[in-house]
Amino acid sequence: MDTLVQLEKVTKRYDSSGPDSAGAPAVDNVSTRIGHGEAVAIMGPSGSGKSTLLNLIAGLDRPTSGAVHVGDERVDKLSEAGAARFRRRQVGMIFQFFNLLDDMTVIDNILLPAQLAGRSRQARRRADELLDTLRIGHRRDAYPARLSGGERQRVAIARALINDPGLLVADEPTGAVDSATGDEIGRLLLELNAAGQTLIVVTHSPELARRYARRVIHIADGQIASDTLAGHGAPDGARP
Amino acid sequence: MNGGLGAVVRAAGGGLGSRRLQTVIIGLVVLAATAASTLALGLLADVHSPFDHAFAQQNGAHVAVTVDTSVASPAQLAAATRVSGVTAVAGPFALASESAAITVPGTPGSGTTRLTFVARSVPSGPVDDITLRQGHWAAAGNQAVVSVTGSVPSQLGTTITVGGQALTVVGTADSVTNTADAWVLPAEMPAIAGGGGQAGTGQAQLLYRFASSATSSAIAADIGAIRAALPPGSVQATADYLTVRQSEQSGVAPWVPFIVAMGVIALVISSLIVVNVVGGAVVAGTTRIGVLKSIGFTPGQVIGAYLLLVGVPAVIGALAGVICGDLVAVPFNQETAQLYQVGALGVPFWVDLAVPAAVLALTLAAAAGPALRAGQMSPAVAIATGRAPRPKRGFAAQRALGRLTRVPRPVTLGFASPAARPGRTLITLVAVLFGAVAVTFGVGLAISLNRVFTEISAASHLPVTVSEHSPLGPGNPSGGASQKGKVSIGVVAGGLAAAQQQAIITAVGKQPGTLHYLTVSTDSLSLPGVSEAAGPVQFTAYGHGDPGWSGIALISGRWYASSPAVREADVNTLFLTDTGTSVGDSFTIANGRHAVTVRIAGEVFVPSNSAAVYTSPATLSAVDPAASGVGQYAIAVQPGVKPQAYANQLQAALGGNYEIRASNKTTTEIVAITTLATLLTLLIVSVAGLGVLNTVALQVRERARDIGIFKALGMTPRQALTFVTCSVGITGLAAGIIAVPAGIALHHGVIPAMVHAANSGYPPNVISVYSLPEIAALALAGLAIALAGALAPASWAAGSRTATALRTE
Repeated sequence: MDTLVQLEKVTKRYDSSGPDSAGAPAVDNVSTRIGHGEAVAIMGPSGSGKSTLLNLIAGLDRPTSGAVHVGDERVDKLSEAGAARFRRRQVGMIFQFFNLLDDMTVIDNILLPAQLAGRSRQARRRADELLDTLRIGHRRDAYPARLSGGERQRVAIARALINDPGLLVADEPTGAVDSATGDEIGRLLLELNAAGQTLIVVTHSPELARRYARRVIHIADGQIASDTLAGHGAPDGARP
Repeated sequence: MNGGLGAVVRAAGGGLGSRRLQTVIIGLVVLAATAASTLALGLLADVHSPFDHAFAQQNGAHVAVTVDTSVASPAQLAAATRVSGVTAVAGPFALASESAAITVPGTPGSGTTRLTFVARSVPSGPVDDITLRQGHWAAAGNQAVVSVTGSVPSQLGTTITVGGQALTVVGTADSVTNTADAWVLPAEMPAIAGGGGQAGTGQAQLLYRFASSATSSAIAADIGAIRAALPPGSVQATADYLTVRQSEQSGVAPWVPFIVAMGVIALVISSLIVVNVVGGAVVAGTTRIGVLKSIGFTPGQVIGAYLLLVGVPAVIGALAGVICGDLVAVPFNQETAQLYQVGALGVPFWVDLAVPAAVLALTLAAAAGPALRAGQMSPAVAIATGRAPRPKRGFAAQRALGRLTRVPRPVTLGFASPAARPGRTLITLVAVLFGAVAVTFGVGLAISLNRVFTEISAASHLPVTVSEHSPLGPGNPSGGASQKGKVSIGVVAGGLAAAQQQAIITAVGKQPGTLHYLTVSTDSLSLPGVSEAAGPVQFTAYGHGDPGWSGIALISGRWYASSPAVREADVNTLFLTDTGTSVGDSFTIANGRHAVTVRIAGEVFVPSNSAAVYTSPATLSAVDPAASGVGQYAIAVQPGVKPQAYANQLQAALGGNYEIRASNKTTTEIVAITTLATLLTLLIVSVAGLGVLNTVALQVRERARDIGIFKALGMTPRQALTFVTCSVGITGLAAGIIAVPAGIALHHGVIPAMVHAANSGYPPNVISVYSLPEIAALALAGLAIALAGALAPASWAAGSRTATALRTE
């Protein structure tokens, strides 16, 4: 399987004078690879560094040291503008609390990444497809405040997919919804992965990880504690 | 410090530390608002204060009376000093008005002028305490002290020859009501007045201060009491301080409408921005208020902490603002002080107290409302309200603009933002509007003043003048727009002899660069029915060419016909007002036995305290056969020729017996007023810009999470910058577009008021100063102010780290 994401000795240490200071690095010397089409769950307790790791992969933050490669991009070396363009083209992001814009309708929220990329006209057809695929076409002109939690997360997923990114990253995608909706979201992500979408999910839920990811990376104190294939419980020694 | 108060102070201190930007903005806004208001009010107060200041300092005379001592006896004069209501009196001083020849050391030739001499052994006294400016008081018979406002040059060693007696100027002095041109010792008066100056045989001056003197009617009653105490026919002349005061202030009067307009703009915009900034700061602190309440702060303590939080930077800003305002006012006050010879002037003390007090009261009032509301909220509601506030309005605008697929999304996102906070948007719009109005008005004012002082003045069109060399200077015979409001005797310019004129014509004819020239004859005449509050009527006759070459603008009508057979004249607005005539009317100029009826051909733009008549040399000679004839040649140079170089060359050709001057287009007035206008405009624009900065900073803070989402979804820093600047740019553009007609309206209201205060109408081109390209450029002033104010917070938004912004609550 071709490598899509490669981390080499990545460390992230927050400014010791800043509010995020915790003494120890949030991510400590992490190296791993994720292939095209993989579905990887990153698990760990609060403060273990899993969200920081996701931010580094998505180009939302920069490591203190080490290298982050996604596709052909050396993400950690990109400028702010370069990182923004990288996120537009290659990364779709799903957040725990949806991060939808309250003053925009569903369709406007979905179209926003395409519009920022300057391809709003072409994106309309893709947006309609996603609305149908994610079964939220009837909510097209609604505002987020009128949607259920599940509907909001589906809008967020549609928004993440509007630019056909190579990598979909999700930070606790079921953390703010009930269990039934969480299952629904999980199935949706699985369907996307089955269709070839590379997926990295940060989750607290072992159940979600077991059912919907093929590989689980456990993080503890900023380091990879284990890297296993889901359901097998054995370390994957082949993965550096 | 008790525990409650200590907690309030510590809470306020913590707030100051954690909200440095907001604290700095409050301090800066209060500083700019206080400085602008101090300058504006200080300048307004100065319109009236310099004369009053000097008058009080020098025990100025409320009334000066000239008495014929051949009619009134010394006993009657003494009785006249004891009339009812008198609080102080000085005199009688011997007085004589005589023609005198002036010779200035190091300057060839001499000039002749009429001077009023008064005999005083000492400068001080209970009334008209004369202030010595340089040198010393007369100590010997052949010495004189001259008035700094008179026509004798203020150069020590100057010789005044009068009645065969040569007096040396040993000092210069100032009488606030201009009671004399020169002072000598009493023993010198008989020689000056040819034996007629002694008390009992000539004229005497009595100077009074009265208990009741504030109004014209009170002064009239005081003068009536003096007349009643003296024999009939003995009072030859009276002068009161109100006339002098009005005359002195008339020099400043034209600037009053401008200063009022700019001052009011400064005050309004300052108040608005202070309210907006302070109110916004408290609203932004709502979460903190909730936290404070949740740990046990009472509503009173919360309000106290927030008033203190706002009050500390406001007090520092207000104090610094007063100092800045006072410092900025210094150059303007210096000029006024020099004009009035009153030493140092400063911003009045009451302004220094009232302005910061008012700004601080406004600040605390603006903070109290939101603080009270927040203080009454439950802690949970306050925390929820303040934490990442979500827009509740503007959805429709966002939706509509989102459909504009041809417009970049960051632009439409920005354009939709103002609708989310209509109240804040409105205040920002008004603030930028006032700033842009100030810019539009200031630009128009500068163009108008430039036209008044340069483009439509004789000095601009006939920049080189040739006259006979005189130590008194060439006078101002060529006319022009600029006139100080001083009451003075004036210089009678001597005429050029025929040989001199021939020499000038020959030299000018040979001189390369000559375009054309006019001969200039001047005269001063008292005419029945024309006010002489500021001196006699000034006559100017242009000969040897088209009087239109003078460049003096016509308000209406046309220039007089140059033909000697046609009796026509052009007059200034004051002449028309005083005589009740209009353009096209006939008016008989009666000068003793000589009466000439002229047709008023046009109204010229010559703002002045004196009536002015422009006519042909033939008509002037008919009115006053004793007029001195051509006193000056005024020359226009060809395009590209520098007047000063031309004058230097002509001087070399004509020699030292002629005075050749090249006008300097930059007059003191235009420099001072343009500087003041620029300064006030900059201050107003700075306050408006700070207001925008505050609004955008609040907006960026409130939308930090949204900006984080945008950036996570691929918004580049440049797009973030575009989004934030567009959010206020649309407001600035709207404000700029509204500001243009508003600024033009203000200009069209203020300029006529300024011109009318200078006793004049105005030609259309003084008002019609805005061309289409200028209007288009000025419409962008609001946008420029908004973008300048938004740039810093927009840069912060663009530079913020995405992950950090996403964590913002």
